[in-house]
Amino acid sequence: MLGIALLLHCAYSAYEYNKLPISYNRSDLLLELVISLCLIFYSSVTNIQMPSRLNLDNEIVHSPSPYLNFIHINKSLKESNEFGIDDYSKFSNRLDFIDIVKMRREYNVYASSIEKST
Amino acid sequence: MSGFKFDLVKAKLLAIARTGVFVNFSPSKVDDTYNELKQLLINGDSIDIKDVYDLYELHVYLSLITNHDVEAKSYIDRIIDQFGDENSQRITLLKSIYYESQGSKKEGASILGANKNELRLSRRLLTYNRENLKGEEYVSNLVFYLNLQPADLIAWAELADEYAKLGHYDKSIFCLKEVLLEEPVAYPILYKVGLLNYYLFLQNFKEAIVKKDALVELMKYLVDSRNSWLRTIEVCKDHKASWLGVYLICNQSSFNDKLDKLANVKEFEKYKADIKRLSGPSAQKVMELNNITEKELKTLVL
Amino acid sequence: MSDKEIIFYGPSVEKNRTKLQYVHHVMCLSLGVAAGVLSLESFMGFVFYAAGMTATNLGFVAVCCHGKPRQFFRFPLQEVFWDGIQSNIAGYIMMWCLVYALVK
Repeated sequence: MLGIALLLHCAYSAYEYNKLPISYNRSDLLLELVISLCLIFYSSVTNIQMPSRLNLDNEIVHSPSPYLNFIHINKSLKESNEFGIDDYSKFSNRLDFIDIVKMRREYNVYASSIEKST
Repeated sequence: MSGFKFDLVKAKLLAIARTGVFVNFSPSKVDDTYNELKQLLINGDSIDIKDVYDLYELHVYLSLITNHDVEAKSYIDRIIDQFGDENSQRITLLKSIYYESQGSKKEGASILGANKNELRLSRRLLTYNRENLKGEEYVSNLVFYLNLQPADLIAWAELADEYAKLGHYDKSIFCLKEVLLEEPVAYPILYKVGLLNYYLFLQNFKEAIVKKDALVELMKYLVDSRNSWLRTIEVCKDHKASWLGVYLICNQSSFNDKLDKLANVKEFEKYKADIKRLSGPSAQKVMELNNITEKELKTLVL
Repeated sequence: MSDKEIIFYGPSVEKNRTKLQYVHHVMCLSLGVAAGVLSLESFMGFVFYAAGMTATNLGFVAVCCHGKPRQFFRFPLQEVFWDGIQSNIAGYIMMWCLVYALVK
């Protein structure tokens, strides 16, 4: 935002300068432009940064490369394997074939064992 | 829940919702996830509309598993209020699973319809009355379905698991290889192929076997298993279970002793040379990845 | 893995390209505004664009790729430098002309 504001300020300054009948030194404009371009570059790079993630065990996982993904398959899949979820987990999850009755039964056994222990 | 933690938990739960990974959760993990999601939805006014219904869907599944049926129904109603009752496989599937969990299996199956273009519903229809079917019957249903939909990789993976449960490891490997034809770098499948080959070896290995031909057959299982695990490691660096598998094969002492007794067999010599080469690095990698000492490794495996 | 067989992971390649394009889009439009503000004309405008984009790309390689673009792009020189400069030139010219006309 600051970068864009500075850029717009530069544009307005240039517009006002151009109204003047005399020629002028543009070094201040140039400096402001360089600063605004740097700020815009910084913000665009910050925008593509990937946030930290929680894995399935609720531990925070920081990616070794926070901006881009590794393209070599062994490094890329190593990261997703450590996270616990990846493009291939659909083959082991198979949500459409979920055995809901069995899962409910297993949960009941677990819940009653918890109740007994407390 | 602080804003940062809220975003992290939301991202995690969305990943769980979109991949269906909760299907393999243990009951305690399901319980934790259910509580986490419930908490998130209570404080979740700021959740984006495109995310919130994915979370509702997850909440329905988790509520059903944890026997919160009224809650599940209310969330299904919210989803239906927003998207309507028709023309969505996802919603029909959700309703069908709800009916199934309530014991109204017929009703659950009837809403699935018989449109073969609705892939997800066709899959679900296969599971109808699953617990009353014998293993082979469910398998034959899957085989029938795969004759009609041979490109359905998820169903191939399901069939592979069913065959493995019945002890038909060779057929299970065939099914997984069908998946690998389409997804050649699916490393969990590659790992499973290695594991099933290893099971095949264990199934057929007997102390009494001493003949060369029988040993060559057994060796083939171990070679296939080793190759699959090495391929898994090639595709997914530092895959713990595969390194452990390679280490196990290298230290298959009762089988290796039999090979040693039969000297000057060309196939065995190559195999022995290969496992000798792999033995050291695999042991080192297993220790490194699992943070264990050499002594602990030996007690762990033997 | 042998040197002969390097497998690239398609989704990562695609994601990286999208992110690079985002940075290129933002920077080419900003450079267009800057060129208009400075009232650059003809050849100087294009030199300014080439220099600005090259500086952006160098910054991108240093910050986002940690100086190792080969780990994130299959053909770094072409994907990061050449494609970035030639595919965004239309956006740059549009902003350059617009701001030039407004400021003058």
